Amino acid sequence: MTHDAGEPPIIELRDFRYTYLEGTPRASEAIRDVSFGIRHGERVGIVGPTQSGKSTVVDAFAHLLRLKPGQVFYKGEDVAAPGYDRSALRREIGIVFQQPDSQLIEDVVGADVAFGPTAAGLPAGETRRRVEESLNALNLSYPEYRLRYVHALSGGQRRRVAIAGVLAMHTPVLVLDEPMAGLDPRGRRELLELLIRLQSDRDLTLVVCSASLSDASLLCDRFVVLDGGRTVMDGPVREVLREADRLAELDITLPETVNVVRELQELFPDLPADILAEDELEVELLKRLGAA
Amino acid sequence: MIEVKDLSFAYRTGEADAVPALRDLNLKIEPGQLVAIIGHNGSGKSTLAKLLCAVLYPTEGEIRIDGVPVREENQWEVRRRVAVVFQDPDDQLVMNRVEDDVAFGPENLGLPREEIAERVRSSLEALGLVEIGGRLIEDLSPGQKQRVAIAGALAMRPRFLVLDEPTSLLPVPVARRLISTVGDLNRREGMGVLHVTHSMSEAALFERVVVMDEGCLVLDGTPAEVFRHVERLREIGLDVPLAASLAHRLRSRGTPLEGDILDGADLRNALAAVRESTAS
Repeated sequence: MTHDAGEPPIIELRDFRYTYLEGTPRASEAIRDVSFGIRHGERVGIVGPTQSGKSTVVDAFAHLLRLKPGQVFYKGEDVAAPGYDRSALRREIGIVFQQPDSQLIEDVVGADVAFGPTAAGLPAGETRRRVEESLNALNLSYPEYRLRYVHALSGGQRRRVAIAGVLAMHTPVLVLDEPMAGLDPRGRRELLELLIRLQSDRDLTLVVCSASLSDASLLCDRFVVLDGGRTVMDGPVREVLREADRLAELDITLPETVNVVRELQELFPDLPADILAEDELEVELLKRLGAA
Repeated sequence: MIEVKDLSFAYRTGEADAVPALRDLNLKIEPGQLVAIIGHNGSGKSTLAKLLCAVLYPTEGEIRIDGVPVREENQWEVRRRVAVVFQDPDDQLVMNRVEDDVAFGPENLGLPREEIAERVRSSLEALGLVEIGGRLIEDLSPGQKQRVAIAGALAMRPRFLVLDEPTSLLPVPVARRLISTVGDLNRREGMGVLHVTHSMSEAALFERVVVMDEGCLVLDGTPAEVFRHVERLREIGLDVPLAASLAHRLRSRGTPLEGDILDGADLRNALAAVRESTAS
């Protein structure tokens, strides 16, 4: 997907700083200085080790922090300016938190997905339509799942219900915090394919936070790398992956392909460092074996 | 030794919608063995973990831990031998401070004070937690909390440690350090470890891998033996480490790769051998 580079960012952080419990003895500085813009339709991975500030960035988007003016902008408007309608922001940026249980409110799947649209004052018919559409989009068939108990579902299913609840709000921006944590290989593969499809079908702006580049490198086209509350890298996925040594030093999990390539470069020094898919690596190896 | 014989287990026994979570399972685990148990969500691996530490009891068949049958009347005998750590440490940390939490189990065994203090000290040391022994648990990172949970289990001086997906919510580097600590504990204390995981590359670090699907045991062997079954594992929703999968693909295209290939270094060595033999 190509977007005009001159278009203003949909979300922007400018010299963002944040200290938890500011002015108390337990104050801790989570974000020292972070600036970046996200354009409409971009798929951005915000990556970094634990304590790097990723979750604080998510909380800033979710408007869970008391922000100072001049730091966080949505469609060019300062979200902390006096008079800005912050509740409207909830209809613009949908957030899926790391623990699905923290955002599942109702006992029954259908009621949980309906919670947001109902609270937003949508008519019952429209709410029902959105619940059906959102559950189906997440491969949770509406007739089969709408009356199931949330607690009786597996972790992967609960995460999909949480995503359906956010999707039902029809927000143009979707933010996911560690969406793959706790899922088994099949669950991860399915969620990955689903998110790629949803993003392109609905022309969503996607923001994924993770300490691991494995799934994020297949989902995103750009990485913003945070460390110690600062931006340390920002660029296209393959460009960032070429700095594998620096990423490994930061305790960021590299994709398995990158790790294997790093080993194999001792044997084939010209093996490209930014290979993302197994097929690609197989082709490169067969080429080199044929030459030998 | 853990002996599982013809074990079946169903949740909500007797009801029409009772689901068999485990079916006719047979398994023997020697003292001191390092075992990884893999399977997709719902394959029965966590149910097995809960049966081994007497949180659940067999519907049919039996489990014996060093000869003691897992039954309700033996629950304390069993839990003295098998300690468990769950996925979310917040589910099992009960006290406010690190040291108090680690002491909680031994205190309930009614041990003398000096013995409790000694166990707390050595468990904290084994997990690298001595410096934060006095801290509040709520101030710790998820990786530190998981270490406290393991220290608490260790303070019970069990014969077997069952780890039920303790790493699935941790960043990989943190998870790797935890696994290497568990490996050290196994070598030093001779304690058997059963580690339930979704991570194939983590499972490859264990001496034995047991694969479960739909409540049955489907594969059992060394990592090299198990990860040879690339197609079978994919069929049941699992995966193999990337290097093993690549080796499988290259072999099927006629590259004569020798030996067991589980990680990048194995693959590099095998490829180097192929290149040398074609050059000569």
